[in-house]
Amino acid sequence: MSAIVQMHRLNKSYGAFHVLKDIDLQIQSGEVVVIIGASGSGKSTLIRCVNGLEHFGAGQLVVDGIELAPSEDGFGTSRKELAGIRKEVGMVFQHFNLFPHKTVLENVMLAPVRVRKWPRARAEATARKLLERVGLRDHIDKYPSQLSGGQQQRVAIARSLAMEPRLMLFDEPTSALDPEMVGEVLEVMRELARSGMTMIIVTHEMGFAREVADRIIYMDDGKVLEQGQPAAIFDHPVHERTRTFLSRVLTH
Amino acid sequence: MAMTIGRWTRHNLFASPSSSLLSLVSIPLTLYVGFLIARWALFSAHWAVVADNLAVLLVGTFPLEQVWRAMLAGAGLSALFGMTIGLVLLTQRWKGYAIAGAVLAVVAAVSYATHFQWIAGALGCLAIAFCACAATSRWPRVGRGMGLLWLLGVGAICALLAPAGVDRWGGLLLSVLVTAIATLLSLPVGIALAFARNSRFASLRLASTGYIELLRSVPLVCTVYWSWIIIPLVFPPQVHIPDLARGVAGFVLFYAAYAAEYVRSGIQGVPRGQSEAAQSLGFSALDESFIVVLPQALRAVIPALVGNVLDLFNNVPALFIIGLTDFLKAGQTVLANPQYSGSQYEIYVFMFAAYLAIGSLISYGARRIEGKMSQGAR
Amino acid sequence: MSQFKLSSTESRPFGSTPVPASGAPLRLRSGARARAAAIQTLILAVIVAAVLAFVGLIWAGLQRHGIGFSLDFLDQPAGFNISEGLTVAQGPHGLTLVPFNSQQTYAQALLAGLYNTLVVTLISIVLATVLGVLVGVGRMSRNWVVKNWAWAFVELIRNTPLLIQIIFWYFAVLLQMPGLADASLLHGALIASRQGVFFAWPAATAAASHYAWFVGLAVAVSALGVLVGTPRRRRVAFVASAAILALGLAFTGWPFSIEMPEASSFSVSGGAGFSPEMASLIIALGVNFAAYVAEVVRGALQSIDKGQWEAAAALGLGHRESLWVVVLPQAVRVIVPSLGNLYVTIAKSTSFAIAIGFPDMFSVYGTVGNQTGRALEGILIVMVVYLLISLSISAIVNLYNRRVMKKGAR
Repeated sequence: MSAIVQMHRLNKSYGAFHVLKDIDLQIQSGEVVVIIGASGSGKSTLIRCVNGLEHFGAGQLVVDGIELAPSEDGFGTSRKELAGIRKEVGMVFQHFNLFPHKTVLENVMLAPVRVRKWPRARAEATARKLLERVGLRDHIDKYPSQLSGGQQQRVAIARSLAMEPRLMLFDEPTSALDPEMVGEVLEVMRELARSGMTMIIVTHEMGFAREVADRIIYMDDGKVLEQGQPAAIFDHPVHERTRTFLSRVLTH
Repeated sequence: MAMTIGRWTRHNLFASPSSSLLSLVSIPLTLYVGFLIARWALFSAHWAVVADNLAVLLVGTFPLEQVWRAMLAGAGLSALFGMTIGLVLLTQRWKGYAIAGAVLAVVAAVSYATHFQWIAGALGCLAIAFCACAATSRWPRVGRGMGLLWLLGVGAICALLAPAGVDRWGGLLLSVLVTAIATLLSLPVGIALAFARNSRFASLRLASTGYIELLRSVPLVCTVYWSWIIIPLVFPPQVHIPDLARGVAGFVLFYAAYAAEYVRSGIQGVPRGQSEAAQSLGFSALDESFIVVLPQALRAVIPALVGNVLDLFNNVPALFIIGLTDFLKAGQTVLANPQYSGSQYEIYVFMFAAYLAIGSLISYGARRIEGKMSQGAR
Repeated sequence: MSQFKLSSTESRPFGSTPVPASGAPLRLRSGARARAAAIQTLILAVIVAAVLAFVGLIWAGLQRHGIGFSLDFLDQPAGFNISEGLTVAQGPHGLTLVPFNSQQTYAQALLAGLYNTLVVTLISIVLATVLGVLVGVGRMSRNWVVKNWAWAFVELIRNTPLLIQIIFWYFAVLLQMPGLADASLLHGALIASRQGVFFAWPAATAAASHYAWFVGLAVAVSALGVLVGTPRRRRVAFVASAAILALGLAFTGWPFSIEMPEASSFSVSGGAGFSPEMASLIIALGVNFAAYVAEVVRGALQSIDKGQWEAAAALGLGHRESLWVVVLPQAVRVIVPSLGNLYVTIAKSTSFAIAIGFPDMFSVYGTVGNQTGRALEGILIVMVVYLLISLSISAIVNLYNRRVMKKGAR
């Protein structure tokens, strides 16, 4: 089985607040998994554990064959090991987090040059290709502050793709966007899914989830309450709480 | 809505009874005091004392037969300052600056021809500064490695002036040079301290915090004097460390602590998301700190750092404690001469005006930078 | 149709790193932590080693110059005079404050310097705060002249060196004042001359020792009121103590009288006063730091939400009342932390006194260091004392800050 992410009895607490409770999860290579749930259910924390931005207290987590160590203080896994994981796992943030002091092109080129040690020419060629793919060829020499939110997020996606990752994490990628810009970002993500990229997406965009996901995971109060095919989850949810959540969200 | 004079006066000067009273008292008072000062400055003051002693005021006890070194040094420093200001301002009116520079150069040449050597020198330096400013405003790429240029430039200037005897450097030249050297050296140390302060290793945090708190609790004159005492003890007796180097070391130790605090607040101002994005891309801790966080941190605190430079410049007179003659001490030296000892007011007003001019310029620069950055133009 | 086929997604075999054999993960786990601990210890060792090496080098240097390191000089007689300042000495009833004389020890000389430093610091802090608040408020004035005077004041002071200001006040102001004979102002209540500034000051009369009983009683009653706690009882206690004080006056007469300074040709007796050096230092520091306080106050006032001004105006308060009663008290919470920093800087800046011959601690150290050759020991002592002063000021301001924050918690 080519499971790119394996979680077994994953637990995390912020002091007294137990935010992840005994999570068991396997993500296959090539799968598109969408995680839905209310705020505070632990969805963001979960995917941030996958690339080591959050450390977990107990349990087992293996990403791309590398095991992360549980720890209370963040000293569990060394920076080098984490870098090994992060080379293959890309992340797109809710607030884009582009580097404001670099141009769009430099933003996309920076990581391949500094982390994968590519020659600048190769990194630049890849960057230009990716920016063309996401539809931003004319904005290559602009600074992030000169772009709209939707454009910035597309640059962010290109930036992560430049590292040629095996897995992409999306933490509510469209939640900070004005409604008219959500579509352009979802389109990019749709194409990415179609090309066979393994993706874990946390989102509130239910229509998109239904269309693109191979599997939907519903999280509630730190636990994986239900998971299954989109049709199953959206049309025939089993648990009461899933039904309540969906009814609240889908009326929009 | 155009304000007529009457309206303006009523609103700004006589808005309320108490305001009117204040205006009625302070306006005549201001005018009277202004009149007294102007009358003194124009008629009874003997400005010759300044003109006669420009040499001492500008370069201290520098050997006059090697004054060309000092002139070159002044030109070099002016060029560096001008370039930096040009890079910061990126003014559209660079043509105006270039013209101003050219005019000053002409006036300088005229002064030189009419034997006002020192005034010529000073004006020449100003001319170079203006031209350099215009140059980097027009062609910003010229100033690509400005930091490195400063280091090399100051190093070259020190090498240029050294043969005249480091102990003979003085006056305004010394003040500016010390400011430049101390700033260039204290900033990297301050940055290192700031990162150490935020390190995940408790021993680094402790050491850094201890240093910063200690150096900020002790007066500058103490630090300078302490350096002056300690350094010769540490080095073998054959090595002669000039007083100036020891004094500058004291300045660097002191101001590195302040720079560290400013840089630290800058680092804390950089959004966490930036670090997270860098980490997610697999950046090493070093790359994350120096490529992503530090440039943003420094950008945020440049106005405060410029204020720090002004503070440094205004505290250079503390070097009197180890017997060095900076600009202020040079003025006092002039007054020690019995021939000029009656001209207290003239000398002090001149130096006050000089410091005010320089200080106002630097403060104005800091405000401009602040304004540009809040506009978001990068 | 997707052109997103990235170069190596399919062709890469599973896992860029093979999953380690079962034993390895445990080693990896402790590996990272152990490595961090090792680095931590290494850093500590390097720092300690560097400090020890530094101290060792200094020690070697001292030996080489034949100086050595000893604090014995502190007990030796000073042999020089200090123009003003009190030091601690053994009196008939224990330790008292007395003027310094040359038979006393170097340690007592330094204490006299410390006394001077502390007095100047305290008075300058008060002056700077009061003046600074006024100038800061002035910056917000609607009167154009006042606003720009305040602005000019701040710009003039912040852009020029403190040292030149100290020298200005000393040479250009204090030393230019008239001689003692012609210096009387305010019907003799103030003498501003080049020998110093003297003013009327209360002095204890014969009745003072009797009145002390009444004061003690009043204090006890107030303390009781504060301890018991309820605001009503406290008020009652204060009123009672005031009554006691008034009653005492009737019984014993005034415990103090205003003593006017009497100037002969060379000196002044009666009243209190400052030497020209101390006066100019205090004025220079007070005026200089008033500018910085003014900026802090202005920044704080501007940071208060405009809505507060509008609400005050809607209630019918005038501009001045809105400022002093509504806005400024809120601004205090923003101002206090910055003031702590400024006060510490004031304390440190007193060290410039050496430039005008005022015997503050650093200046006295200069003489001591020169006479005994114990420059290094002396400067270390002086630095430690400055450190203690700075920490104390910060601690006091922090305490006050905590109280202020608690009151108006948002």
